Amino acid sequence: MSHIGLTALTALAAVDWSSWGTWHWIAVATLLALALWQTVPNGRSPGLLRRATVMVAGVSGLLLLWLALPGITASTVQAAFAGFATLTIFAAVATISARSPVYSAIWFALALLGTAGLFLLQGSQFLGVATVAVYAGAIVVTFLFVLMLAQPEGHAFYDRISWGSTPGFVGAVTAVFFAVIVAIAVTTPDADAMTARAADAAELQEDVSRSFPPATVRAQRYLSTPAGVELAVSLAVPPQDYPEFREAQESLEKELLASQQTLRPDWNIQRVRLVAEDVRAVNHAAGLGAQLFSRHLIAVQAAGALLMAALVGAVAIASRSGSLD
Amino acid sequence: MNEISLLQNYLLIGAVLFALGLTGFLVRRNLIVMFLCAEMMLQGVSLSLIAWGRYHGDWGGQMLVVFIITVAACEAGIALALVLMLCRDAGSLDITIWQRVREEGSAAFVDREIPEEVVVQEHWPTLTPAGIQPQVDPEDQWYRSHV
Repeated sequence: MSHIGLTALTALAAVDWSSWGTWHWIAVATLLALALWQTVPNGRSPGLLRRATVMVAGVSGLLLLWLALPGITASTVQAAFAGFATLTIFAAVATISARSPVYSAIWFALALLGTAGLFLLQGSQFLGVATVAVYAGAIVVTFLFVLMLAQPEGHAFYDRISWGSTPGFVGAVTAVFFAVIVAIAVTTPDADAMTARAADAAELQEDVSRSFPPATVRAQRYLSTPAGVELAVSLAVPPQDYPEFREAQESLEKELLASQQTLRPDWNIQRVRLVAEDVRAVNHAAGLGAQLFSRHLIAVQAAGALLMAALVGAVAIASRSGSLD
Repeated sequence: MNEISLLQNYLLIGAVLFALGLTGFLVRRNLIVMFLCAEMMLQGVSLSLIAWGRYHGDWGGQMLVVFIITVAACEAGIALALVLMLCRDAGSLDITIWQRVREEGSAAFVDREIPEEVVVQEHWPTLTPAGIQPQVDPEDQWYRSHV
């Protein structure tokens, strides 16, 4: 516990309090926490004042949030992201504020659809589909089944009330938590270093494209190995369909090793590795499967054992006829 | 920078989802809704993982999300079996019933006021009567009084 407090204090100490952006984030967190506090079930009937507070605080908080987000250059991606993100957040708020657990589950399914859209936008097609099929299709339906079994009379009194005065407390705690997360995630990661790294990558791209035809290179990345930096160049075509693969790799390696002494002594490139599958490749599912069943094979086996154990455990728990005592 | 701003956007949405799930888990009292909120926290983490994986051009993030989905399925199966058993034992999904497993010496939470239910006049769809009037048992409830 003290460790968490220490981490939070360190993060708060690293925040630049004189900057305008910090107060912007604090305003966002405060407004959203206020709206959330008034939305969650706390026993009072939603009067006009509460609704107005929720509307004003929530809408202004979300607007400030969108204003603070860095823009994406591709406008279609920006529009799709804004749509999916708004859908996800709205559905998530509705999930935790709906009085009836049935409505909660249905709103959660909608939040999952928004998340699947965000997954697709990042190019992870398989996970987007899996989220819809497994999460929204199977898990949420199981939740609904159990809800209908356990609480067939709809919502109960404890769905309209929380733990006493806890909503206010939890709202404050979550606001602080959110502010710390944002401080860590958005401000603290060194944006300058990231920009410099991207500039390095663009520079290296020119070297790579001198050795390879530009259409065949899809992406490249650095891997830090104990021996030094390893450059991995992803190809759009499989290596077996690319006859000059070996020669191009050798020439690129030679050229990079020669040029880094003069241009970039800090890079220390040891090896150039050509890979056919990349996260952004067209044959995305094939690459994912190749990684899953080669590098993560033991984890797949462990997951299978876990599923089996969960199946047996669920049957064992559910078929117990006696009471707990 | 397109890639960096995409990453920051996704990290932010992931943080928001995680915070919302955490709030719901702490505030709500229905066992099943609490588990829904735990799943929502997992979704927030998945968003961040996928964004980092895309940023680094690495499969690791997506691999972790595959296993998150697996573990979430296991967790849902076990948790729902447990919830069903607890509900059968206590007759309610209210988490405050299980206060008797709290630490010795700490005071019990008691509801100070239980809110009145707002009675809404339901308008159920009706059909034009046709044929013979069936004998309806008035004790038998045909529909939910509320959802």
